[in-house]
Amino acid sequence: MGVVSQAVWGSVVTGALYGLVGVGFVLLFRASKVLSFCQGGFMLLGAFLFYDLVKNQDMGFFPATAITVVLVALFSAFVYIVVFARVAAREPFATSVATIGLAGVLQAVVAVRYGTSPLALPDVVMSKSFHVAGATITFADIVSVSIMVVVVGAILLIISKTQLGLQMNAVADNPALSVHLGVSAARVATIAWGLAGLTAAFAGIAFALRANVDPVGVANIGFFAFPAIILGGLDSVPGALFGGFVLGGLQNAVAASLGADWIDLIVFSVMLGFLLFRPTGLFGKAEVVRL
Amino acid sequence: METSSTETPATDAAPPLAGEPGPGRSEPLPAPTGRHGLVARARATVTRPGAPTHLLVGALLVAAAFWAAGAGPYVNLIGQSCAIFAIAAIGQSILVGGAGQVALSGGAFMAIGAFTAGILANYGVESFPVILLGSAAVGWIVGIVSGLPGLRFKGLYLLLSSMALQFIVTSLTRQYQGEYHPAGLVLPPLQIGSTDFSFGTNLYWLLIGIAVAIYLLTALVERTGVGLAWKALKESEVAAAMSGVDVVRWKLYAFAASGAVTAVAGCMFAYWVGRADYESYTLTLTITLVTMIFIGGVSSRLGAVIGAVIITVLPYILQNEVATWAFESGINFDWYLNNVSTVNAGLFSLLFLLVILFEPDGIEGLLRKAEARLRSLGRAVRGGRRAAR
Repeated sequence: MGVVSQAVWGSVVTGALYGLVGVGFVLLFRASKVLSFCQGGFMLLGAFLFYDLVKNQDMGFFPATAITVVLVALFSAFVYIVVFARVAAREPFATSVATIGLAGVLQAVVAVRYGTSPLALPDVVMSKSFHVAGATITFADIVSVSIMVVVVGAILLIISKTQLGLQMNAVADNPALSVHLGVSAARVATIAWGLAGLTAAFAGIAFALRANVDPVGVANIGFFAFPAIILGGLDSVPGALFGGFVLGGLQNAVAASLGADWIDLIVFSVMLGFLLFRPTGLFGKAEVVRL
Repeated sequence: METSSTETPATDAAPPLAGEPGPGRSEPLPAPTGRHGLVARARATVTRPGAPTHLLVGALLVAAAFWAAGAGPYVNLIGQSCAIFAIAAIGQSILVGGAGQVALSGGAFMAIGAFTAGILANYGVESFPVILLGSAAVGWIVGIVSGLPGLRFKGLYLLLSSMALQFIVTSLTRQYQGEYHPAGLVLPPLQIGSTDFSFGTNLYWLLIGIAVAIYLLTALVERTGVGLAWKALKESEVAAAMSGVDVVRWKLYAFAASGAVTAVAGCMFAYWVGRADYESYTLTLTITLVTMIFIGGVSSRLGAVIGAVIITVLPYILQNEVATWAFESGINFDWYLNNVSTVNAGLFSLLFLLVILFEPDGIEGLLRKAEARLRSLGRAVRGGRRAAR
């Protein structure tokens, strides 16, 4: 009982993390048809900025989070305007490939600044834990899941209730037509990049709360979140969330039954299977370039 | 030095073949009778747009190859790794040139080549040609399999499916290695017949020979109907299908050829290091290979070779020459020397980013542009002279 409930809770926590990163991917893809490979890089930036603020500047959880998230979001939007905006509208594919380069640059900058060995965060939230149905639930777990709930909830509200959300949907559905109707696709894309940076920063913080951070480990989460968004569908925000939880569950199930060594193999095989047989994922309606 | 003597003429022949069979070729030439026709034909080949660039770069590469052969063991070693990565980059550029696709699975195919070699060697196969061909064959087969998603999708989806393949192969090789050979799969010293090719200039010339052979082979293949089919696919698949090109077949062949050549590079890398270790063939290597073909010039084979050489050599130059220079002129270079691999990775990523965004044809494109400018300058000068007369 204890093992099962622990695994279930573990799935929820990792699922929340992947969901959070995945939502950023989806927002970007909807706004500019760019698939970003540098979400992991922004996550890294968020995690280490947060680490720096807490450890070296002695900040509390809330101010450090606020500063980190705002800075990374602004930086992400800034990168879009300065580097990618010129090319993104014309060649989304080339831009997607270029984001691989950006990820490498961010990783190198963080690794030079903070070193490559894992760093542990001092306790910024209570180091308390609870026992529910045999599972140990740390306070950091609860904080990271609540971060996900609040952030994704806010983004879903924005998309469904506001003018901006309507514009984002319009651009996602038909960029050319929405530009004719007076929506600035460039503005929507800039905001989407900002939001993607924001979710990545939150994900970085959530990760830093629960585990030691090192540049390679955190950046790889950006790659490991791809199965989640393929599962859910590239252009569906709830799908990304659902895919995140399925991925978290799958990882924990594989780790429990076959061993942690099998996780990559199974997870990416599932992703390949989805790409082959159901490329739109479970919820997406992404148009796929087919022969 | 058996290979040395046989490869030398091939190396010399490389540059003229490097030019793509462009439109200049089919221009009506004066009746090719006797020596004058040959001269005219040769002249047309050499003066075709892009040909001087190719000739110059090819000659430089050949000169560098000969210089490196006699410049001591250290330079030799760098030259060996240049040759290996040039093979890998050619393999990746076949896919871009052949199917117009960028894949994130180069490292996976190198791993496949290396592990095939390692497994064969561990099962008692000692003959190098057999192991090399075995690696190529497995690479070919996995290439076809990896092409299946590529048949249905373009662009992003292929990028993702090849990335999935990369992670799957890394995971499989890691588990195989962990289970049976925790320290990596050991390869025997490289021998052909009774000649030892496992180190020094022998290994160097063998690697250069294989690289040149693969370069010429792909160049020749691309001059046949296969190359034409690939070119048509790259331009427009619909148009290619309309004009009777069997899209599925030729696309799969592009994937297969790319897989085979990249696997050969992996096999040679394993021989070079002496063992196959999964840690050498992760996503990082894949991204390095993509960086090479983009920096050199994604639209040509020569570009891939240029990129491979630059990306391989640059770290050594930074580490030795630039560091010495910085030390002598009193600049603090320690931050670089303390983080060499990290800074290099970041630098290459930055170059990659800049190339894709600002110069999509890479260094080769820059050279061609410079050539075009020189040509128009030459025309202007000639025109001015004529006007003055």
